[in-house]
Amino acid sequence: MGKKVLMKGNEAVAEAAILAGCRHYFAYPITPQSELIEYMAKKMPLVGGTFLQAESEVAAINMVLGAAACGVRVMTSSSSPGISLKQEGISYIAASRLPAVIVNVSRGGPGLGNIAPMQCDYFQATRGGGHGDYYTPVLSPSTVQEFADMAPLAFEIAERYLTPVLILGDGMLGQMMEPVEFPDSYPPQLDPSSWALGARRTPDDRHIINSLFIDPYVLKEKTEILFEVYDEIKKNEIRYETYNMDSNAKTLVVAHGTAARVAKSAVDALKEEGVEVALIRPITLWPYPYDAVAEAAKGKDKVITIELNMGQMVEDVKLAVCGECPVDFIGKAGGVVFTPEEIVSLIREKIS
Amino acid sequence: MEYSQSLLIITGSYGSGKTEYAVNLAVEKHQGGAPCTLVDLDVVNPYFRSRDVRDMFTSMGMEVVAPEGTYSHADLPMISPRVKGAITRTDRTVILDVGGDPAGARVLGRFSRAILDRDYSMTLIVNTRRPETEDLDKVLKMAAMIQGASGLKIGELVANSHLMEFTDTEVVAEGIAVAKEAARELDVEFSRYCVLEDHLDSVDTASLDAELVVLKKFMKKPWEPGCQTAWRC
Repeated sequence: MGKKVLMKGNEAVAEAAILAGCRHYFAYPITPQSELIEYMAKKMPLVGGTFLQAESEVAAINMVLGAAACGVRVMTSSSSPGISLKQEGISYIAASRLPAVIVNVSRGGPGLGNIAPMQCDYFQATRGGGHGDYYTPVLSPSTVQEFADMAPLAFEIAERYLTPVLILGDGMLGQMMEPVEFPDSYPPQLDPSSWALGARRTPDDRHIINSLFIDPYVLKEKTEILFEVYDEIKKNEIRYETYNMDSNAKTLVVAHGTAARVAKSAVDALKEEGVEVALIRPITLWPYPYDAVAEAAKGKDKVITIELNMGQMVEDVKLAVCGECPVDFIGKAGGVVFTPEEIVSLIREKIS
Repeated sequence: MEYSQSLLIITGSYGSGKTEYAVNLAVEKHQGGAPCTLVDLDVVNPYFRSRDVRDMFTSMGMEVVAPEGTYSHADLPMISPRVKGAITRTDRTVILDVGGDPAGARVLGRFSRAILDRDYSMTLIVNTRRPETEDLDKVLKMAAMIQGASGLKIGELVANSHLMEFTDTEVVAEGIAVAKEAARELDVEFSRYCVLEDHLDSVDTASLDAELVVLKKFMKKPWEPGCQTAWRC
């Protein structure tokens, strides 16, 4: 490990991506993600990489597609409205079976919304996002350190399964500073010759990267292959964290990212009052840890989902709990972040 | 012209802890009996700005000059029309919380003539655990860039090396050593170093050779104890 430094989430994830061997980055600025693009603009030339501020998000994501097709580690980032613009390209990357990393430092929505931290892109992130029958693995960090650690992890998952991977942070994680350290070495890129252009395996091997399959039977087969890969991802890549699960808690809280930070403080505060509450924090939002949430909900009187939105992940929690116990929701729109005190009194209200 | 009260300008790389220092300095002056105005000139950071303490400070009897109205929480490079007036005021201590890096300091250029017309003191906050100011060379470079962008001269360095909950004596001492050396090179004052009140237990302040400023944390994350109001940027 190197020395501990103080960094914003936006800077830390950029630095980790560079350390993990990312040398190509294309993006367009937007708050609250702009420190990421600024960091890349400053650092990429120093490591012989390519930084390009595209003329639009649409251009940036298509540059990502092109670079991924050439077999290099490539990343882009944006914030909610910019990610919406990128969805066509993300769908093309998924259909083309190429590895790429996309960071969404989400903000308040819908529309232009505001620049405050919100978790309102959950549906978009976890249901593919763009058009067509596909998913992208989604990683949800809750600390600056985790945000940084997810950059190399996202590249690994992307290359192992040939899929775009989304890191879904929010403005709070992007803007706040926390101590972070970077490992001395990172897992190297997988050999790109199996997916990239320019690597002919036989003299007549024409490796064409495409997402256009006019013959319905060919598209059917291609899509089925995608879903076989998704089954593998579901088998191997589900991640979550549990907290205060060993207690005799009768209430389970489910929260991810920034909301989980507030929820964790609330669980601690309630413990001091003698009220035990268990917490499960999904780290992969797709694939969702349905089984783990179901397991954690076993024997509970109530499950409470806490989100910085009007209720999105709560639908996955309901799918997981499957009617075994009531699922309640605490949420707030607009990018107004709860304090632990607020959560404590709302949880008390819900369980009394 | 006689100026009874001072104009204190707080600059640094972004993330150095300028806002936390400026806000604490305002409280220090206010408690010392000086009427005080805190001016938010931050056009760099979209979150964690001194305008966040406006309500609290106003109720404490301090004046906060910052963008007002609907767009005060936007990411627009706005400054309040009341800044110019605040800079020329001599009946109060005026503290300018400047945005980070030369990009933030450039705003000062807009007011440099008014500032140069009177006495002022510009302070550079140094946190050596921020990668942009991690050693002497980088601190000197940051100082030169901020002076260039603002058209003003730094008169004082304040050491503010910390790693939040991982702050220890070594981290603070490293900051003091670099700030002292940089102050000598720049031929400016160095006397103060900061430790957040929550971290005093892990820092052996008696072993450190400078004036300790104990900071209270105002820019809290929503899950940190004592963050009483729903947070908004």
